[in-house]
Amino acid sequence: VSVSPSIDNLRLLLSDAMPNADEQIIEQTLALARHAALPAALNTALVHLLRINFLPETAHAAEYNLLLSPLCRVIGDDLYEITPELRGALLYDLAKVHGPARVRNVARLLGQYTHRPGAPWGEDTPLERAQRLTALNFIDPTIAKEWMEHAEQRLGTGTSLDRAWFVAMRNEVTQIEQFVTISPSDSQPGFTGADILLVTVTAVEMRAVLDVLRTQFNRTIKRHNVGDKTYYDLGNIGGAAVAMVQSEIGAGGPGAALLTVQKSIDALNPVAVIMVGMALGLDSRKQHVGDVLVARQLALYELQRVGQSAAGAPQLRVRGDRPAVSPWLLDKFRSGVLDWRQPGGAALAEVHFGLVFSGEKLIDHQDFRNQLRMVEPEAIGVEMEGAGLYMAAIDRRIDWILVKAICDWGDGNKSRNKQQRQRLAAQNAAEFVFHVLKLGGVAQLRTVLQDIMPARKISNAPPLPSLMVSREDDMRQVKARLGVGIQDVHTMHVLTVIRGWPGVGKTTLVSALAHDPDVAATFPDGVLWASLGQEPNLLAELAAWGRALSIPNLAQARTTEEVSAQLRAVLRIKRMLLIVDDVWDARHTELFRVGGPGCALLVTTRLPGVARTIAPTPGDVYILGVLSDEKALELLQTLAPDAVREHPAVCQELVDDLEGLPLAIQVAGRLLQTEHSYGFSVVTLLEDIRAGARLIQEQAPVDRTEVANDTTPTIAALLNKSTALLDDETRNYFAYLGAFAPEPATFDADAMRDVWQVEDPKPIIRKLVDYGLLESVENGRFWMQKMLVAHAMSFLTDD
Amino acid sequence: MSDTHETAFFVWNLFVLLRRRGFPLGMNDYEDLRRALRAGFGLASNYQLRDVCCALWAKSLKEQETLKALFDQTIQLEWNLSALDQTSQEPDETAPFAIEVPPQTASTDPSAPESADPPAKLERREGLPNIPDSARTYSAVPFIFVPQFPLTHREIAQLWRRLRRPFRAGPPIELDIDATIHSRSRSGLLTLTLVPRRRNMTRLLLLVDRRGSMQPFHWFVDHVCAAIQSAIGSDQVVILYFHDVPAKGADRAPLIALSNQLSPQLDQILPQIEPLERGSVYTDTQLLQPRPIATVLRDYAKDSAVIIISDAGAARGRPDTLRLLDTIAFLKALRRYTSGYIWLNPLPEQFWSRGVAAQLQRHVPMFSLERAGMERAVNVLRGRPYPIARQL
Repeated sequence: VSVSPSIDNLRLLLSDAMPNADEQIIEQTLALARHAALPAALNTALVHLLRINFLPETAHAAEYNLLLSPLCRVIGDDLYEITPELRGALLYDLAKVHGPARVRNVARLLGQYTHRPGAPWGEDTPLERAQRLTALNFIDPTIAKEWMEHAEQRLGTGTSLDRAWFVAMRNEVTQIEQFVTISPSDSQPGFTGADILLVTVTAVEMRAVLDVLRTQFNRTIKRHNVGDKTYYDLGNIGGAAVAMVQSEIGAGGPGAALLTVQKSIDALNPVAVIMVGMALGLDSRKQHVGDVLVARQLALYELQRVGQSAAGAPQLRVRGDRPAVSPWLLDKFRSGVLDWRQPGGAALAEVHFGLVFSGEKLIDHQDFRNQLRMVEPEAIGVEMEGAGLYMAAIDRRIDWILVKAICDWGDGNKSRNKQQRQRLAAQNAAEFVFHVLKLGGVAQLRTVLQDIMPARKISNAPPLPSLMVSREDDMRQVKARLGVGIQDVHTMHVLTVIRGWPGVGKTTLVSALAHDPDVAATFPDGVLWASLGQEPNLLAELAAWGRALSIPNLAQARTTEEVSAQLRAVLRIKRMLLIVDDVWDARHTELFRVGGPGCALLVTTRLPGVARTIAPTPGDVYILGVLSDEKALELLQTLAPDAVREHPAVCQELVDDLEGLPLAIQVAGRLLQTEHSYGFSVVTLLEDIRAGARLIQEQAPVDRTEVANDTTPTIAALLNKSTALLDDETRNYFAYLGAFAPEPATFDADAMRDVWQVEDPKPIIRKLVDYGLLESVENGRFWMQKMLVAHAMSFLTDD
Repeated sequence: MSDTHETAFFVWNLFVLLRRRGFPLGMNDYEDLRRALRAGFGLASNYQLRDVCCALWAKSLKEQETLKALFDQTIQLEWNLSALDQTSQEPDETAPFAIEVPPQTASTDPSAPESADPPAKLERREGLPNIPDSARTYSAVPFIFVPQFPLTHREIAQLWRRLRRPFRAGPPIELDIDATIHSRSRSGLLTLTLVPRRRNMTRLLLLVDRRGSMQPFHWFVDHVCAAIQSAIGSDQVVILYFHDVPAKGADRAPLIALSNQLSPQLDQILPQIEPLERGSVYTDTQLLQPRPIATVLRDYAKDSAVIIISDAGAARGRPDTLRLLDTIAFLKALRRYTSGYIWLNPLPEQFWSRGVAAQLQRHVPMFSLERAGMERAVNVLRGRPYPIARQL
């Protein structure tokens, strides 16, 4: 094997040959060279056609630059070839840059051009044959190979010219084969599960599926590794995303059908699993090799009672399950038989529907086969993996069916004509399955099923805050952005970022959204919530989503990307609202962008820079403002009606000082109401806060508490004030809460009792709630606002 | 309803593709199609829609062919997978199901009866047997087979039309209305004033380099020549071909003076080079039917515009003093017949620093075979002065 030059070397070669050319034209020439590497020889016209068909934006100059470059050599009158040593490298690069489908399309162009009237390569010349064989080799390598074998045989002692031709072509045919079928394994992105999973077992079966796909759909097949399995993404067929996986022989072994199907269902979340392959026929008089068997029912024959017949001979009684396949799948295949025909009208192969035996035995013995027939005279075939498929599918509540074609009769003559019969059977089964898939109706079924069986509502959003102030306007606007109430999914904003000051109520707003009935109607599958903060445990947050969605195998994922991929696969078909609260770093959001087309992502952040980075356009950022004067006063009035009634002017001043920040008003309001009875008035509170604020401002920045860093001195002073009014003991209890409260921390009384190590936490809780430091939410739970947590923590660090 | 939605989307794709290929289409054209669709045209089948697109957007047969190919491509990608038209599948679409039919039967002779033993069919010819493929094997994706040169026929023709010199010559057969009225009003008598018909007096001699490094340019150069011919009129344009240099065998004696000079310039000996009229040019592209260059110059070059199309060695980039000498000698001979001559180089100007072109462009107006280049070339042929570094 000669050392094939790297693409960088070719680039160098080109720029040496064209010293005055700029980089762009060199790249364009190289791009054209990749395409021109496929034909056995080139002429000006073909190079031109390659350019205008595949690289329409490339300059005309790329054509003559290529033909005049050292990459090409002249082999005749307007006839060139890419230097053979370079062809392999270029062709490989073509597959790498543009995908294998492009390789096949270049072959198609070559084929069409070669067949055009005017015989560009001459009539019946070796060159003409070489071009046709090259093109065919990329479209249908089996036929190309067969032809080679046949032609070489027939030619026998041909001329030396022909022999040389064959040596060259054989070399080419084998070299090129690798580019055709499967692209190099790709990384995860882009593969988000499948609607239909095809399960094959033997290499013949798998190849048949890939062959049919290639000849009928001209598809790029991509490998994807999810977990420890390799999946083949077969693309969209009849509106359904189809993938294939290969299982080992049998149902129960490691890597065999049961485990394979189970893992695949978990990884890809399909709506149906179809097993496609080969089986034994049971009646060689009524059936033929290549006939397709579609199971209506399986009979698991391994569970047997071996009894005695009247004559004393051992008698088998099969006691295994007789599961029926999914009725709607069966219906699709039954209707598919109608038009599975050759263009001429004859059926491509007979299709039998009926009971199929499934068990772990590879049967090649007439007696055993006859015994099975006696057990169930109506059975149409025997195979080995259906039991595993059935068990896995039933366990995961996924629909399934088995479609296999007859490759032999299990009568001891398995080896006769084995290859041919197997190929025919595998091919027929694969073709029939694809034929049915093409008819469509499978992907739609997913939505039908979802509508029939309302999905379990998932939500890990924190409970609804008890006090929600005057945010109807903001709610309405954010809901509109999320597409709530809009029928057309396409107008929905996939990503909305809510930005606002700390304490302005972002978390409160989004948790209210999470509990909103309109939102629930738009996202029937529920809400997923993650709170990040400054140093989030991303894996834990992602895993929490995974658990909420009950993704099995979650523990196997080691990296955040893997969990992301798993989430993506599941969410692809769900309609959920994803909420990521309190983002400090735009990169963190990336992992949570796992929603499918029916999902929306809502992100909150306090940092304008982060909001700008995350949002695709500035219009996707919703800025949550502070409360207006009236609303702020209204809120204060709800909390401290007496104070507002008695000192409306001073209260207005207080609200102004607190800058309309809901959190601050809430703390102040509670404080006022609680201390009211002790003669504490708005006037004194205002004075105290102002004094405190001055004090904080005068302090050196180093000494500032975290709270002061996060917010204005006024608010910090207010918080200081509220804790200063507490007795020492309660303040300590408050500080402990800061240590254990993640945000949006909700906890119940028991948790607090444990932390505080007190008999009865209720009096302390009541006190904290009264001072606005703790907020009660539904179900006897409590939560603390971020800023208050920070404030509590500042006491801890003081100790 | 979703049907029309998808149609609009898919036609938009086609529209964008066409624009990328330089179709002169604007939003109005797109709106036209939408209006046509709303009016009910082109909704019955893909073919009808394609016809409507062609009618609205394609201005020439070639454009139509391009549009059709692109249309079919877009259908393959966008339309067919939606399983919308299961019923209206065209015959080709069912081809995938013919996979079990041995492809041999689909070979070049479809009328032949199917033989049970396919290999028997392969025995037809001596040498390499027939390959069991056919045009249908590759028909899954329609491609464009109409060449798309950087300049269309029309664009080139428009450029060169400016070279026409309408001149009244020959017998007076056309009525001069102004003069007739004038004479009638002056003399009171009706006397018809006749003038000769206007004729294009431009005569053009195209000398085109073939073979060798010009090979990659043949197609485009032929396209340009044909366009020029149609712009000026085929009677007025003579196209002849040569390889490398139109005349060969200049006297090498003057070169001796340069023997110790490294630079390939011939400026020093320019006056010593004799005009050269030896050698042949050819009337066919295969260079098989020679005509002596001397007679060609005498017959066609006199007071004509002469255009030489050649890369002047720039494509391969080898300096060649003899070729330069021959070329200069030929140009000297050409100057005796006409002053209107220019050189068109299919390579862009940045590549002229190599080969004979580097020197030649100092002696002859040389332009690239692009729009700007040809525009300037026409200007020079129309008489606009062009600064030459060193006159011959």
